[in-house]
Amino acid sequence: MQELKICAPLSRTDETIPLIEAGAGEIYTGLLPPGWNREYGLVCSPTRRYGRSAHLARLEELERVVRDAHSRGVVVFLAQNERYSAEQEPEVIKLVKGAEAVGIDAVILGDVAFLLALKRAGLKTRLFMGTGGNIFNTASARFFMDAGVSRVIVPRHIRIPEIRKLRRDLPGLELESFIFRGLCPYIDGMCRFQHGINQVLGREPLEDIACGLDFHVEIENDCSRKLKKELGERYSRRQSFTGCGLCALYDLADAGIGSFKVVGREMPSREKIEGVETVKKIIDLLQTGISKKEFMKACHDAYLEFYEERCIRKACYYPELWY
Amino acid sequence: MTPQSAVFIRSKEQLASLSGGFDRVYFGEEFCEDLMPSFRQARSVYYAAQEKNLGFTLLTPLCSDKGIKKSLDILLRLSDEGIKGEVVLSDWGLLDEVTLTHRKKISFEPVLGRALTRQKSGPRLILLSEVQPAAVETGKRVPLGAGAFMDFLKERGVSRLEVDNPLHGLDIRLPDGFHGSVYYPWVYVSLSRICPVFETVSQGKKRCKRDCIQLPVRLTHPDMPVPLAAFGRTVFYENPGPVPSLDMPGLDRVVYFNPLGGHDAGT
Repeated sequence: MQELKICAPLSRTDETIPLIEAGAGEIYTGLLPPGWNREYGLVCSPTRRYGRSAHLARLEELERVVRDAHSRGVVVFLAQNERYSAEQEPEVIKLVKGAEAVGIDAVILGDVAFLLALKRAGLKTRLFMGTGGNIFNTASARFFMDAGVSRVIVPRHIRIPEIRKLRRDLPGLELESFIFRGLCPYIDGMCRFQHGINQVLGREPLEDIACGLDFHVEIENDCSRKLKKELGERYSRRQSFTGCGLCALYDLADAGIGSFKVVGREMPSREKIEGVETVKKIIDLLQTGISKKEFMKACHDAYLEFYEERCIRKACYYPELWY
Repeated sequence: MTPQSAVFIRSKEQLASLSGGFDRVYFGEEFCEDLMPSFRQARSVYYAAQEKNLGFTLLTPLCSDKGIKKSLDILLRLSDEGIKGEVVLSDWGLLDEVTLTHRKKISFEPVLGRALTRQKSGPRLILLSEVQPAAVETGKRVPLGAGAFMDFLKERGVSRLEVDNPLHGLDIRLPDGFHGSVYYPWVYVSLSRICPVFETVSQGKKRCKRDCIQLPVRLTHPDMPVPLAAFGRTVFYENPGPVPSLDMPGLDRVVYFNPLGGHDAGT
C-alpha cells in the first residue's frame, strides 16, 4: 500500500508541531494580503474562508510554519483558491511569490484564471487544483494537468468509481480527497452563497452559512402531503455541520488516493488536532490488514466518539456506501 | 454593438408560443447533467428556431465523463449536419474538448458560461451595502483576472462571456474583442450533486424522470433578502429589479431566463 498522508488545516503558528505530532504529513494554510479586509471585506475572502481566525496574518508567520514543518519532514501548502478581479490579482501574485520565497511546497488554487496568471508571473512552486476546479471528469483533470497542475483535490461529491477512473486514465496525477469534517451539500466551485454576513452585521447567529439555515419550504405545485413533508425535510438545513468519509478510506486507498484532507482552517486548535488524531487512528488501523467489515465498524465508532452522535447519511462524504 | 435579446426555452412548444422581440433562443441545460436534451430534441429546436429566424445557442452543463461524451456527441452530430450556433460551456473539460481537441469539427462558437465566470451572485451581499460597501463593490465585479485569462480565452476562440445580474448589482468591463451576455431576471446561486427531488421520488429507480421541473421548491428565511427557488439540484432567485442596462463595455445581450423556460412562465 502506498503511503497515506493526512493533510491538516492550520491558521496559527503554534499549531504546527501539535498537528504534526497528531499525525499530519502535510499542512495547508491561508494567508491574507495586507489590507484585504479593508479593501474588499472578508465575505469576499481570498481563500474561501470568511473569518480572520482562518488565516495567518503575516508572511513571517508562514515562514515560521514552513521552517518548523520542514524540520520534521512535513510539507506546507498555501491555499489561494479564489478567483480574483483585475485589481486583486497583482497583490495576490505578490503574496504568493513571497510565500514561494519562504519555501512553501505548493499553492492550492481554485480557478484557471489565477493558475494562468501565476504561470505567466514565472512561479516555480508546484500548483494544485482545489475543489474550485470542479473536476468531475478525465477531460477536466487532463486540462488542468496540461496547464501545469500536479495534484487535484477531488470535489467533495465525486464518487469512488469516478476517482478510480481518474487514477486509471491519468496515472501521473496526484489525487487528494476530503476525509473528515466540513462536508457541504453544494459543489464548492459551483456555489455562490455568501458566508460570514452575520459576523459583519454583528447579529446572531454568527454561524450563518446559507446551506445550514432552517428554510421554510413550500412546494409550488400540487402534490401529496407525504411528498411535501419529505421534500421539506430534504431542502431545509441541508448542512449537517459534521462531515465524515472515514469508512471510504478502505476504497480510496485502494483507488490510489495518497493524501486525505481534514477540513477546518477556521476551527479552534484543539478541534483541528483531534480531527487529525481521529484520521490517523483509522489510517493506522487500515494498515494492519483489517477486514472491511471490522474497519467500517471502527470508523462508525470513531465518528461517534468525535461527534458524540451516530453517523448519518447527510454527513457522509460518500453516501453511495450507504446503499 | 447592436443590443441583442435572447430567451431560454425548455421545449419546442415554448418556442412556438414565444412573442416577437427576440434574436436568439437558448436551449439545453447549464447545471444538471440529467436535464440535458437529446440530440434529436436539440436538432428539432434548432430547425424550429431557424423557421422563426432566430439564432440558436446550446447550453451544456457541468459534466461527469458521461456528460462530456453526451455533449460532444450532440455537438459533433449537429455540426456534421452543417448546423451552426453557439455552445455555452460550463465545464473546463468540455471547454478543452470543444476549443482544442475537436475544434475543427465543431461548428459552434464557444461561449464561457455562468458556471465558469463564477460571479459572487448570492443574494445576501446586498445586506452589507451600509456597513461594508467595499465588499458589495467587490461582489459586483466579475473576477476575470488581469489579462492572462482573457488571452487564453482569445487563443481558444472564446469571445463571449455570460454573467448574472445579482441583487447587489453588476460591474463588468470587457476588453475589446469580447462580448458579454447578462441573464435576467433569475440568478443562479448553487448546485448540489445529490438531488433532493430525485432522492424523494425515485423509489429506487436509477434514471431521473425530470420530476424537478414539476416540483419547484420555494425556500424562505429571514436572513435571505429574497426567496430562493430550488429546481432539483439547482438553486436560483429572482432579481425583482429592472432589465439590466447594456451600457457596460462589451455587454450587448440580455438573456431572458426562467428556470422553467419561456419568457413569462413563473416570473
